[in-house]
Amino acid sequence: MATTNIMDKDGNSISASDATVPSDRHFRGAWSLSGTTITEDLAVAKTIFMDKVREARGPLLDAEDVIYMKALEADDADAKTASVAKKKALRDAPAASAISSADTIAKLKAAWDTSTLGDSPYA
Amino acid sequence: MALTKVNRGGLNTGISDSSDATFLTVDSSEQAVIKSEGGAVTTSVQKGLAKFLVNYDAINQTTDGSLNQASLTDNATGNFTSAFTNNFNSAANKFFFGSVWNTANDGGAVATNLRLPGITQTGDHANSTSTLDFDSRVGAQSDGNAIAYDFSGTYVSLLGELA
Repeated sequence: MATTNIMDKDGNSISASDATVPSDRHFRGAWSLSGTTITEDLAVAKTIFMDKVREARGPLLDAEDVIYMKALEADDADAKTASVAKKKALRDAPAASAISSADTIAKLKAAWDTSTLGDSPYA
Repeated sequence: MALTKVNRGGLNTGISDSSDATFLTVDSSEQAVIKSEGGAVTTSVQKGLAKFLVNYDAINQTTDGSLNQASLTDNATGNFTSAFTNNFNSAANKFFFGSVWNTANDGGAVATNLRLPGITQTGDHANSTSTLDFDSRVGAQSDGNAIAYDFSGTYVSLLGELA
């Protein structure tokens, strides 16, 4: 059988049969090889996480634009306020303190704000 | 001892010696030509064979099946490089086919909200006689379009001519 190698974010390579790898590939781009163990670089993982947040909020912001326009047409002040608050929360989501303060991958995964962004891809 | 040559007497063809039927021809350079289904033309056996196959499980980092692959390198999410055991005779004269097993947990569930998952030959790598770079991506899902994605089964085959 052909050899399968794993390359980390810095271009270091190891045979998959010799490597200890993270339990999932959510932060594959953050994989860092040391000896025979691959761990996840937390700083890089946070960047990947924030990109995921930005991807997730895109369609939610689009949908919220529709909600706001309908509220505008109906001159519904409460609905406009709620929509503005929702859009602000979406825009602020990548800068959440839970992300920057996370000191483990588990805490980083838990930093996904389901009330704002919906189901977590890390659940 | 490995069997490398078989003469007509060693073949159970079902065609009698007195028959003038010819179903397979091997010329002096050992190129095999076989009759078409309709019998009107002949076609090359070698050209119709897959020269490279791989089934890579990116979730578990295992090559589950392969042909003519010396090694596979898992470069990143949805990006892989296979090195051939035997090189092709042309970098360009290859025919790439790819598909995926649309799951990321060994058949436990369909990968979430995927549309048009697919495999492509990596666009920013030059053609090579000795290696193949390929990407697995999703066409669209709720949190991104055309993003790199890892599947439990990443299937690639190549037709072409070996050196």
